[in-house]
Amino acid sequence: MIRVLIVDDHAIVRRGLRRLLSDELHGAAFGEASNARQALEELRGEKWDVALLDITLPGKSGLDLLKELKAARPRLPVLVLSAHPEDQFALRTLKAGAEGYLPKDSAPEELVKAIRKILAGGDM
Amino acid sequence: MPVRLSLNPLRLDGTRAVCLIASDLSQTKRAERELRASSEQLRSLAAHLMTVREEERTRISREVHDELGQLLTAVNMDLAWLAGRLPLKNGQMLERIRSTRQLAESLIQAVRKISTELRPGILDMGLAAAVEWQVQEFQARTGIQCNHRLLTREAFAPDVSTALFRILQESLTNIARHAKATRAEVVLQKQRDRLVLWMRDNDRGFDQADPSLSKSLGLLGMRERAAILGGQVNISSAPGKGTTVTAWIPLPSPEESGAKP
Repeated sequence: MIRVLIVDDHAIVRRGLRRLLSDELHGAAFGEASNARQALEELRGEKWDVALLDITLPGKSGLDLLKELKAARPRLPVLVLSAHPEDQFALRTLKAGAEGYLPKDSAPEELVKAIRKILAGGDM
Repeated sequence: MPVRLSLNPLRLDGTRAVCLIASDLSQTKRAERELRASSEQLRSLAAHLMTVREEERTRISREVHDELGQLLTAVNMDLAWLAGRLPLKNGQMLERIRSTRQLAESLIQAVRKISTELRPGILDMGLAAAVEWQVQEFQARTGIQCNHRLLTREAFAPDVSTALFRILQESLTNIARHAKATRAEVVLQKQRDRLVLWMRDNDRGFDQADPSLSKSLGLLGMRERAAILGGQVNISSAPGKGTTVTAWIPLPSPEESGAKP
């Protein structure tokens, strides 16, 4: 069973992601966090296969959280979802250790494809 | 009492004399003091308005981007989910969902454009990233080749980053609007105690004595932005020699910023 941690401060986006991915990743289990603190707690309590991380979070930025996630769980694949399509965001995110970077307005099919690729052990 | 004395030699009925005139300058000095105070007040007011406007733009930009944008993203996801659940035989319904998704995507683009025009979110990634993005955007929009060199990638105080970024935007707007430039160059550099943004183009240049320049609100705005933070903007140009804009803002010393040596 695949375990996916969704970190996004918007409940409606978390719900949308969860619903979309439930259909595509049959039997997957989901966890949710709306901020950096919750995300780190989830990380301590469970073993996740992949984390979907919003780059814009209240308080601590997604980029800072990414560095912490990677320090705590270097092998956890992280796919950053961002509402910022600029290359500069993607470059800095990948440099900080994310396995992938996807604009949030990408087609949902692209998101599923990206998660499958990351779970299979590849970078985007 | 401040007094101005003037001595004038003169002749009165063939006799040489000296005329001494003493003028009371109290009122003139008072008027000068009042003018200076009023000018300082106006500058403080301008600085306050600029800060408030920048804060307001940041707030609205984030609100539009983070709230409206995220809701539309969620709508798009739900539409994709719906489309995935409908049997293929429901062609009409699937087509309607597809066109609604296109509509949602257009709305997301519009929201992003409004938000970026108010304040580019890339500024949150630091001034170097924002300069890089702005130069690329300018090049794509105008076709003017623009090189950039980022000699520092440090994080600076938000007001310093925002001021230099806005000065860059104004300079690039001037190049696109007035100049006949085909090339431009931008350099961001941290010198010992200040952050410097240097821009040059190869346009036809202008006469710096042109009186219309002193009335340019764009140039005035650039100078004010730097002056509020204790910096300066210098513009040098001559007909046929292009234009160079140098903007700098002092950086706090390590003791002031609390950094360890």
